[in-house]
Amino acid sequence: MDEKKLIQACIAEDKTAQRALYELHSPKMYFLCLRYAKSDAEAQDILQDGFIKVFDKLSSFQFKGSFEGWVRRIMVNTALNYIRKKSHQEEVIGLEDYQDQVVSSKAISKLSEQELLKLIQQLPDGYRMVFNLYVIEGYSHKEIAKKLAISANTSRSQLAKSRKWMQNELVKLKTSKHV
Amino acid sequence: MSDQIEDFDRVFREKLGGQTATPPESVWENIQEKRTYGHVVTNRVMNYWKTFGTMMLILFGGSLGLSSDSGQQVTLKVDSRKDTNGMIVHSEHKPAFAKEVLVKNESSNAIQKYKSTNSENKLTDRAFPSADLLASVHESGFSKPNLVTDKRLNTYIKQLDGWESAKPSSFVRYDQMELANKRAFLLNSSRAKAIRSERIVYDYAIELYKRRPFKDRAYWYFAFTPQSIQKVMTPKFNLSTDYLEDRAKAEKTRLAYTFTAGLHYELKNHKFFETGINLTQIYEEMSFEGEKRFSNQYDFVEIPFLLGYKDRNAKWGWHIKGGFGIQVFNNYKGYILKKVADPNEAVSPSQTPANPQFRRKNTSAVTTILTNNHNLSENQDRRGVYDLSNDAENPYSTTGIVNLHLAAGITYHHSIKTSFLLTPHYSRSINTITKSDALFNERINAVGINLGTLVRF
Repeated sequence: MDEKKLIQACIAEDKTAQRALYELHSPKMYFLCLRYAKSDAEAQDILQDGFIKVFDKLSSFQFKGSFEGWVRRIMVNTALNYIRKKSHQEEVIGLEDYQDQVVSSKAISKLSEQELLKLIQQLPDGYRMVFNLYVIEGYSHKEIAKKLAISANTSRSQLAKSRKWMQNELVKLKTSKHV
Repeated sequence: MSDQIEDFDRVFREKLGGQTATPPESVWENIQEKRTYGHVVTNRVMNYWKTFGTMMLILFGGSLGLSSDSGQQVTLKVDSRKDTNGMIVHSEHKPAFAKEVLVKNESSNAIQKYKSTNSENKLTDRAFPSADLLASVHESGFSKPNLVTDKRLNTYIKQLDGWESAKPSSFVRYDQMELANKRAFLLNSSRAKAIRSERIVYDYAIELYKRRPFKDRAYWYFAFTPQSIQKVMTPKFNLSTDYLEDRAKAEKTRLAYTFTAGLHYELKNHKFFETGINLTQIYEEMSFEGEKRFSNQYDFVEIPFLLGYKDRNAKWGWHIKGGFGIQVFNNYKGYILKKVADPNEAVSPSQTPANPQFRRKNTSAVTTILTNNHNLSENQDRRGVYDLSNDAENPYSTTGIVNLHLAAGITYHHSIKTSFLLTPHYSRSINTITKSDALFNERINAVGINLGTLVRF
């Protein structure tokens, strides 16, 4: 079944097609959720909410672009909303006073995906959102500013602090692993 | 340095950009469960509409025919501004709608028209409004905003007929309204800012509206209230209670109702004020020894001043009101029992009934009250009764009586212009309806069902 037929079957509430669509896209989307979430449980919540939205809004997809891109954007929006809601209940933690450290890209590339993921997950919520949106999703600071209702300068500053913090953490990791 | 940063970012992008991970099976199960629950809710809503439609058919004698088209409700799709893939984009910086009056001659089946002329519309027919929309209408529903420029929303509003209203406070959105936190708009804190920022994915937002004009707040109010009357009579000075007990035993209320015509004016925050004219008519018959001897009629003209609170959930709402009314003109006809019949009292010929029959044949209480046909039975001694038409004998006062009113009921919002109300109503006289020199005090308690309608100006 091609993608269009699969989507149409999902719109018609065909459970088998919905399951197929979920199995097709959930692995990529789950990893995306893991990048935005602090834990596996949070990532699963986001994935669940995101797919419910995908199925509910499927009929508005116009087949004019990549379906995966459409799903990905729903997931990103869901993740951002989730984090924002959760952040209201938690204290905002800032990243300050870190030394400039330089870690070579070669050294970083030797780390596993899981190690990098854990590193990202340790970032405070706001910083993690900016880092993911800018570095991985490729949004500009202006777009991030709009999405997160912050200024572009805040976005830039949070990204810089995130990088600095991660480099410090990578140095620690490198030392411990003798990378 | 910038090269190092670019390399740093690139490694993360390459390593984490396209990775996959298998979610646990429980996620899919939860998705299924939540979506199934949604359908159950929706089905319940559909059944509700079927029941409601049947009721309306019965009530209005089929005037609201449920054709296959009219049974269709229309649901607006999720996003108002979309990119080519239908994705939601930001709407925070521009209020979605400016003020504009809705074109009045828009077709009643505007959805069909709109669908046929707009290839890019995002309207989807469903047999009923979605649960989200019901929730949003619940949150937003109350008073009518000055309508908006968005054609789809107007079409939607038109289709829902009467659900158009939006609470004129802060921003109101028509999807996922359950997320709205009204308090956030009252705060100027970082928390409020954060909550406001959630609106970036919202679809429709209505800006704070200025004070609504009189016309948008005012309704004609008409009501008919059948009542059950209780008289509370207390003796003054040395009057024996026997007299009052005899009256209480003999008097039987056959008809009591109030007609109301007035103004219903919406104040801020769901409160309203009501005033107008109440015409109350009470018709009583008196029997002794199994025979109907005479009758009487009280006509009260009252100006009520009531304050109330109302709210609505989509088409249905509730209201509560209370206040005072001043009787400005009372008229009395017929007879009441006299304390003691005076055998030597002269009765003027003009007050002697021409027809000694108690009631004309084939007349009803309504006819009697409308024609003021209150005669004495041939066995009733004229000297044993007070003639209420004769001011010298009438113990009742013609003005200045104050009544307390309390009422609470439900409202059905039939259309933009019209609502129907069903309101149990309690009222009682605060002061006596008798003159100061009367031998007794009399207060009237009334309990009734107010069948009313509100018609927009």
